[in-house]
Amino acid sequence: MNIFSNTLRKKIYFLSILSSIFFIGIAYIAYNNLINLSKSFDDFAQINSQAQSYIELTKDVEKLKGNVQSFTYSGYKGSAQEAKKLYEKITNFFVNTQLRKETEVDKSLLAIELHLKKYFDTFKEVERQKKVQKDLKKLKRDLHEKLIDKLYKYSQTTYKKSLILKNINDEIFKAEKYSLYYFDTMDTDYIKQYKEVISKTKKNLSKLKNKEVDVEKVYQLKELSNILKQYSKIFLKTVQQVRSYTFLINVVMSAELYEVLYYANIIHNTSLSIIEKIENNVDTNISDSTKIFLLLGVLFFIFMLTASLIITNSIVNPITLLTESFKKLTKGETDFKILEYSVNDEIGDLSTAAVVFQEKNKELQKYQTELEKLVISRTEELTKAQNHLIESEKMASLGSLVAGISHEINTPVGLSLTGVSYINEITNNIIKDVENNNLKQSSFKKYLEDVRVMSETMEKSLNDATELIKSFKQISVDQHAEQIRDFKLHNYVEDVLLSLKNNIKHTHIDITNNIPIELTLHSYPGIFSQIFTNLIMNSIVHAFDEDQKGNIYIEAITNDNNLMLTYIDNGKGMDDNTIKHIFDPFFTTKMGQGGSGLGMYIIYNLITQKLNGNIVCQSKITQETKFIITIPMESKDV
Amino acid sequence: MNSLTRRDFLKKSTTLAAGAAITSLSFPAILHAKNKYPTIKVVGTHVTLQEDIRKKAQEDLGINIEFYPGGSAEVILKAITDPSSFDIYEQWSNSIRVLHQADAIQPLDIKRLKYWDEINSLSKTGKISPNASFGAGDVPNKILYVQKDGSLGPKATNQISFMPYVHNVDSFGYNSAVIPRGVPYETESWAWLLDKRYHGRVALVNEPTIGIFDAALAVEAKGLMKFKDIGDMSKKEIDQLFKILIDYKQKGHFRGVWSSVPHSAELMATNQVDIESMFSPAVSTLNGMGVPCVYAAPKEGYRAWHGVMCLSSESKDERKDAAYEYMNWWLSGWAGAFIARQGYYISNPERARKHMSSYEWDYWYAGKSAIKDLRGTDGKVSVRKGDLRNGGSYVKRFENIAVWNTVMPNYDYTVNKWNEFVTKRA
Repeated sequence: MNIFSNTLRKKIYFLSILSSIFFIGIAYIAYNNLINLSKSFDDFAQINSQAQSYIELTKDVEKLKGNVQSFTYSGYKGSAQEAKKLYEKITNFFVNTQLRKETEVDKSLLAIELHLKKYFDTFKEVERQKKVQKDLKKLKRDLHEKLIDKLYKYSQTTYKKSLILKNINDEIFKAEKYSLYYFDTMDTDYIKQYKEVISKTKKNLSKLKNKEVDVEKVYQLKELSNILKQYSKIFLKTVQQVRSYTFLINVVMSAELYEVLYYANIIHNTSLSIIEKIENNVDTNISDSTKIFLLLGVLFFIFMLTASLIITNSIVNPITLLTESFKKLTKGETDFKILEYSVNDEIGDLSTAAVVFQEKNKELQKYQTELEKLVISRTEELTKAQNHLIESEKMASLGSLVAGISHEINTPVGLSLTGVSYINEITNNIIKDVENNNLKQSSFKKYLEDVRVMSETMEKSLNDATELIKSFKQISVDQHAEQIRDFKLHNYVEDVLLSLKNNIKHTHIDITNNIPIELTLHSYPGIFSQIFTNLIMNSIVHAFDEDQKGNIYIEAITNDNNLMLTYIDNGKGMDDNTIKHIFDPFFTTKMGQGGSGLGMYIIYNLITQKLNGNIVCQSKITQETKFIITIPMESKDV
Repeated sequence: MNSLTRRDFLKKSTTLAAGAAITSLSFPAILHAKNKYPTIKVVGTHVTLQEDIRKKAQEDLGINIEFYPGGSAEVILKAITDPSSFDIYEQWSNSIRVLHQADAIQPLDIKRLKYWDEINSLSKTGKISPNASFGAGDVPNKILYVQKDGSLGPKATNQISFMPYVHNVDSFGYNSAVIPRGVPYETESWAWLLDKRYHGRVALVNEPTIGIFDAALAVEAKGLMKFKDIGDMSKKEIDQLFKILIDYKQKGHFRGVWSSVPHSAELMATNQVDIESMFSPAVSTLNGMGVPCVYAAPKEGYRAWHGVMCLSSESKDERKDAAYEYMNWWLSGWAGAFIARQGYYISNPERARKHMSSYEWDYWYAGKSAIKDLRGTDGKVSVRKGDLRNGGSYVKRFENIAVWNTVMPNYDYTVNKWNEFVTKRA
């Protein structure tokens, strides 16, 4: 079967494909959305972790600054080492971070990297210079000590307790004091004072030298002067070194640090705003996603609704309507509009078929009506025929009854006629004899005997005939009058038996009338005549063979106002098929043997319709046949 | 005789010092190291230690020249602590006193300077012309001549502490795309640095002996205070000045300070500042980048500076001879023309003129408008046709000096204050 030959299927397939496309589309949008959402979460996570790393960076920078400052002011080596560790950590961060110059943050990070490097490189120089400074200061101290030492030695050699010497000594100590004050305060006044003191010392030394004559002592003084010059130069050198060193810290490093912190602040603020933006982005994405999913849900709902409507309209509704239509059609209704579904598919075909079916139904109904009419008329005819036949049967039964009666009567009448004829004949003979005077006493005695016997026979016969006629009269009157009257059933059945005497006498059947004598019915006696006549005749004809001995029992019992008559013969019985058809008109098992097949049909009708009762036949093959008649005791005029 | 004795004396003392100073000095980046003989080591800043100059000098002189450029502070520190590590020291006049005091340098013999006589009066007298104003602070002639007692002074002698060569007047640079162009010497003013319209977009040079003067000139021009001698501020004046500056800084007026010329150019190029202390190479660089930076000619006068070329106290024999050759080469014309294209002047301009085109000379020295586009030393167009050098001619500009870069007597005090200013966050 070609799957495309079926248009409804095509529609379904088409709808399926369409909805598949739609659902794929929805799924795609949903998937995309989820991907975007997940991506924005990823971005958020990434940015967040990035931001964390930046915050970490700024913290490390602060720590680095702290350590650097700690070292530069206290000289604590631990701080310098800590600073180096932190710088290495920060450098690693930059090495591991891919920086492009595109974003604000990246530019700032690059700037931080640059300035931090300068900062730290300067710090390394500062670290070196700190040692240099320390060495210079030590040198200065050493020179100072040397001065004092040499001065002392000189003072030991001279016996003069010179005031100048004392002054020189004081001045040297002052100079050292001022140098230390300067290093403590960085106040240039102390340099000035130092220089003044040195100058004084130089002058005093000069004075001493001029006064001195001892070559050795002059040499000593020269040496002192030299050392003093060195001392002064070293101090001034140290001053410059300290200034430059301070400059490195206070000017170079602080400026670089400022830039680092400036950009760190930018990063901090930018990171915050980026985080905010990405959070908003995530929120927007979530709300957008929610909206999209809601929209998709709504679309899905609309689609399903539309699909349902389409299916309902194009498939379900028509089918439902058609089903209704078919239901009505099966019920036989024809006066309703079948909605023709004019689409070129199976449902359309079905609706067309329904319409056709409806038409055919209408036709059928028409035929049915016609048929009914026909049946009615035929039934009428048939009823007429039946009635006619019943009448005929009645006539026939009457006829047979008449025939029977006439036969019955014929016999005694015939006998009587024969007797009369014989008597006539023998009388004529006697007359003749008389006339001929040929009368013999023996002949006359024979004649008298014959006449006596004949007369007895004729009297009996004529009596029989009179009785028969009496009975027949009774029956026939009842048969034709059909009026309800009271009668004793027992006696009535006796009358019937009498009327059937001729038929019965040739058989070996014994009929027992066990109807209670006092049982009185208020009914149509004629019918009972017909009933029993038929039943007995049937038993005679069908139940027993010609010489067969048999019994017929007729019983009756009453219950409330109902009479139950039981007629049993112990004859051949009937098979089930015969029992089934026994009340059918024209049904007979002795076709062509005198039975019209209407007898049982007639009594059935009379019992059921006229007497408003029921007759049931039961039979056992070879054993018996039973008829049970139940009728109300009082018949109503039908 | 004196110089020899002095040199020996200096040598002895510095040897002792050098011997005592156990430092493994790591120099600022070495640009080149060839093994040609003899080699001279030049330490200085990126301003004059440019690769093109070194190559040309090497080529012309046939000697090996090693450049060690670095930041001012590093350079001076190394010079002080280890004079043997260099032959030539190139820096600014404001380091002369320091170097001199630390005996890092030796006096130069005028007789060995080939072009001494060509050197103009600016460095010798402090005035470019009779009309010129005598700027405050360390006017070059005050520190040029080595006196008999070893001190530095304006009285002419045969010994000088430095060879005058590169010099210029500085002011501030502003982005004329943002700040409307002013009229030189009339509307352009140091006060613009403190103008509230440029709040948050101002930077100063991170150098207490330079930036302080930009700031001081600005403060004075704005009428916020008056200095008795701007070249020698008292502690009280310094306190007052920094109070004003720190207040401005705290309010966020200053974007910050810059520590190198590239940094200053970057600040304006990246749109972080619209007006700032500036050195002229940055002006050229910015114009080359398409940023219309104008070097102002403030009505209060310029801040002037003089470059110094000094001889290390440790430089001797062949290296000393080579050093003198190098110094003479600088004034031989090519170098002067080279740096002219960066906006610098040379102490003997006429010799440099021979190496410049007439329109270059007209623009850079004569103060005339450029008749065609002029290229800088990086090959990029730094001057457009029709441009006029702000402030006019060489002479005119040097006639309007307000102050010279100076290491003031209260220098140490200013350094601390400067630190406060630099670190103050908005």
